[in-house]
Amino acid sequence: MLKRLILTATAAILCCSMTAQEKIKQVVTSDYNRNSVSMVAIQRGDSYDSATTSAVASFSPGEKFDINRINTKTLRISKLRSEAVYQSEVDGVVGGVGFAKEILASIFNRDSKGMMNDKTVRYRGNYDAKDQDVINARAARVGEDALGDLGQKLVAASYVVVNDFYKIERETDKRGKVYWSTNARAYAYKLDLDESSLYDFYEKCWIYDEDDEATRAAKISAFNNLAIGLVPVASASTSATSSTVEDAAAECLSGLITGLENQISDWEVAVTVSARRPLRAKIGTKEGLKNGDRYRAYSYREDNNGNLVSVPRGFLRATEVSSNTGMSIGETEPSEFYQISGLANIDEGWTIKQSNDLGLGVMAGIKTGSMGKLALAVDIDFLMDVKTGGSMSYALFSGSLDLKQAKYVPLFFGIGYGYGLHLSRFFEVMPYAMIGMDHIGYSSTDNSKDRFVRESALVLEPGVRAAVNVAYPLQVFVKAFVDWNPEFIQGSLYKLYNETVGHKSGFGLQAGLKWTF
Amino acid sequence: MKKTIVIAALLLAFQFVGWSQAKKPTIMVVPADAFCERYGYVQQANAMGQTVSSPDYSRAMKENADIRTLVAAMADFMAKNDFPIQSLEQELKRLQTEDAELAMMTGKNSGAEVDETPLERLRRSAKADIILDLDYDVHRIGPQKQVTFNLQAIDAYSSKIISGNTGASTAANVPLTSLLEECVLSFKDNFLSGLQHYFDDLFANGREISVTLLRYNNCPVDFEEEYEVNGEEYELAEIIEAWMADNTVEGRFTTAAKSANRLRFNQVRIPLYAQNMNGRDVAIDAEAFVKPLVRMLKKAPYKLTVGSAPRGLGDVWITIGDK
Amino acid sequence: MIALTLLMTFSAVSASAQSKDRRKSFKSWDNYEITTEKVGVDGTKFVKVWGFGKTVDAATMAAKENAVHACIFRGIPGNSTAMSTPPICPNPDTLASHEDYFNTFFAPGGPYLAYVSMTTDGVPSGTDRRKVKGGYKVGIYVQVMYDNLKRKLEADGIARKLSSGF
Repeated sequence: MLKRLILTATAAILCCSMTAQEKIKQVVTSDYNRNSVSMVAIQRGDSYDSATTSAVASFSPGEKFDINRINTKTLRISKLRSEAVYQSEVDGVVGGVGFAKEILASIFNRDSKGMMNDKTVRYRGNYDAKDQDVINARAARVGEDALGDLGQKLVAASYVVVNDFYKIERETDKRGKVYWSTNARAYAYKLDLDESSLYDFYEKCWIYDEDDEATRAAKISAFNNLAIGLVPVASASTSATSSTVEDAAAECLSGLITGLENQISDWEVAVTVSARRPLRAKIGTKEGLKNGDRYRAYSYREDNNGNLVSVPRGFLRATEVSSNTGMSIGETEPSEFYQISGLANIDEGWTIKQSNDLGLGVMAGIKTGSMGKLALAVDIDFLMDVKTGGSMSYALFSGSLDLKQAKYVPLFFGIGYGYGLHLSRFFEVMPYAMIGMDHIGYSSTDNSKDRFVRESALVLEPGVRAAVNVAYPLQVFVKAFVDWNPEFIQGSLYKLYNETVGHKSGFGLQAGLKWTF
Repeated sequence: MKKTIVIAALLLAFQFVGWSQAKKPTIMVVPADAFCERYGYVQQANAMGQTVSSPDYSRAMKENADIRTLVAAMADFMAKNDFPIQSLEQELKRLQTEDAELAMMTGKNSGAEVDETPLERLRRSAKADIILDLDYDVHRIGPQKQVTFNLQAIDAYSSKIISGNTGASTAANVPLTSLLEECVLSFKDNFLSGLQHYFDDLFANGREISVTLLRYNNCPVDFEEEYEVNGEEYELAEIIEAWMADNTVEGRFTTAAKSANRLRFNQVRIPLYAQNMNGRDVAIDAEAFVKPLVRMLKKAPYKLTVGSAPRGLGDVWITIGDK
Repeated sequence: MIALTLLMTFSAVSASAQSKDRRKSFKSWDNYEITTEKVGVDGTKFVKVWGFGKTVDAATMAAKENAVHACIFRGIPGNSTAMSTPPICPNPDTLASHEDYFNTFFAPGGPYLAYVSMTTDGVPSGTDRRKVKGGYKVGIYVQVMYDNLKRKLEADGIARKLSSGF
């Protein structure tokens, strides 16, 4: 009995300590350093190889990444393209290539004689240096000369992204235009190099000017037999459709990078807030920041045991993106942000970390008005632009079905533009204008070509939408609008059916929930 | 008359803080043997049929710009602390001119067993109280350089290490002078604090030296020879020990070896300063300290032929029976 | 006249109360972390130091005070590339025997501020800004003008000069 009790207690303590450790590990910090990538394509041995390979070769993963130019740009896996390749298959071929050697040769500009230099490392170190690094360097005796040496720790942040395209399909639309769709999957590998193995590499492989022939030969052979591996860190999938295979593949690639970014914490930009009103942080184009990009704020506290805990706070979006693509001199121009959620005001000194989203709001609700007594409505808005003052531009898409006259299938589709104003981050008022089409598709035997047009009517809809944060990303919204549906822009059949259905110009209301993805 | 004044002055010349402005200890930076060895700054000399290599300081100072950087950086902070560093280069020049003279002087010795190493000779000639023994090495780690250093402050009298400072600079691809200066700034305050400790001890307990007395075979007496003092018979060794007890700071010394032919005293604490015949404060070294003892042994009732030869500042050999 | 006496008594009492407070804080003034960041430029110590306070600003001020306190009384631990720094006043009795001097020296806005300059970019941020029970704990990068501070204390007779006695 006692034994069991002790066992249970031990197990419980172990569990606690494990979760405690887990928690400590999960502290979000503002440490972000630049990563370098090499893009590699998988060839299947079929006719699509050239198109996918060239898409990968010409793809640029963005400003935030440095590129390691390596010789191996393709890997061969002989498998039918109808199936995706598995992680284990990719692991196998990646292991067979000396990627680590190629990466190190690229970073250290290794020439045919085996001589290397640290020009790239120093450039990257200087380029990665933050304002605090520059200020710290000035306070230290070794000074700013040593900033380039910050690049040493970036060597380990080298990744190989292996891209595979599968289920490539040719599609033809009604007009006979050809489209290509493809699925894509990317596997990211990280160079398995820590500080001591880098020193080991220097010791064994770095040739100095005064080394004699025998030493040089030994170091070249040590380089050729370098046993540094790659470790798989993440994978991501996506798909795209375009007019050519190459374009479809190219479209997939940026989606794959975003997908990997969401999984590789080191790829997510993190920085501290340097000022409030407006919120500013010292990142910009160098980090690939774009207007509307979403970040999450974190503050820190110490728990009772003195452990550091990061507390997730609200979200914010980039507004004015500064151009900071130069070496820091300690006065980097910050970008501006607007806080979109969270009870507490985001304060200076807090950490903000990249938290990608699509900027896509999906709304479901009910609608009532002169265009139908009760309709089920689904709206989508796409965030196009955010301003520091909190005004946001949206592209709007709307669709609804009039439930009261469901047998006539009265459907409304609209597209529009909205300009949201935030009185506070919790409350948004958005005047908008939409142009829509009301369609009453009463089943009939009419097969004429212009039937669809004759069953439809043009609708203009100015309105105002108000939304309140409930718990981000969930919002409650209400829309008030006027539908203008004059007879002269109604199709003939529409007019006919509408005598029964009864849609007309007038006032309307819509309410529901919004979720932002 | 003169002798009495000197003896009297030597008896209690121990100074305490503020009583009178005492002479500052002099400090000199010297490249470590290991450093000279590593960089090939050594000279071969033939001594009694054996080839002996010894550090070649003047070549090290002339040919190695880095060590000059280090010395300059150290001289800078020492000067700021009111302790100007003695220039090794200047001392070396002076030594060269002295060499001929010294050769003549050694010719005078029939025993000629008393040999000084170049460092000991340098110490004695420069009269530096503290030698800063400096060693550094530059390591290369791929494109980066890293300097490791080892600085020992050595009491030139006792050869004891006052303060040891070892460490490494940042590893970086920056000019070597930056890394060298970083090293100096890194150990600076720790080093100064070591010096402070040493000075505190010096003021409280005096300098530490060692004294060796040797008897030549042709000497009619040995250290066990008995003499009458105040109506009692005492061995010569006992008489010498009594002199030491009277003249050291609070009677501190250790008799390390005692035989008929040899007497050795170490951890001998001597006052920092003594008044010379004109009543002025002068710093004394081991040789100056034993001068009254030498004079005493020359006089009746001992009437011995006595010679004294310094080995550096903190060690002196007294020979009886010959000079 | 009575008013004057009262005033004097009152001010004396309040002064003694203040100094009592101060003494208390001096006594408990050991609970902070300080680490050498790198070897600083000549005459300075480049350290990261932590401070506690009700607000971030108060904690930052406390951290600056701590940096100077460490240089005078505690010394600064070294790291792999910088040797440790000994305290300017290694004698543990210095504080007690010069209490009035240090009360003035470390008074809010006091002379100690001339020997410390913060090199943190902006405000303490990220993990260097922590909410703890009763306030904030912040870590800042500072340069302490160690050599100047030492000269000052030597000139004021608090610390001994290396050359004193010679």
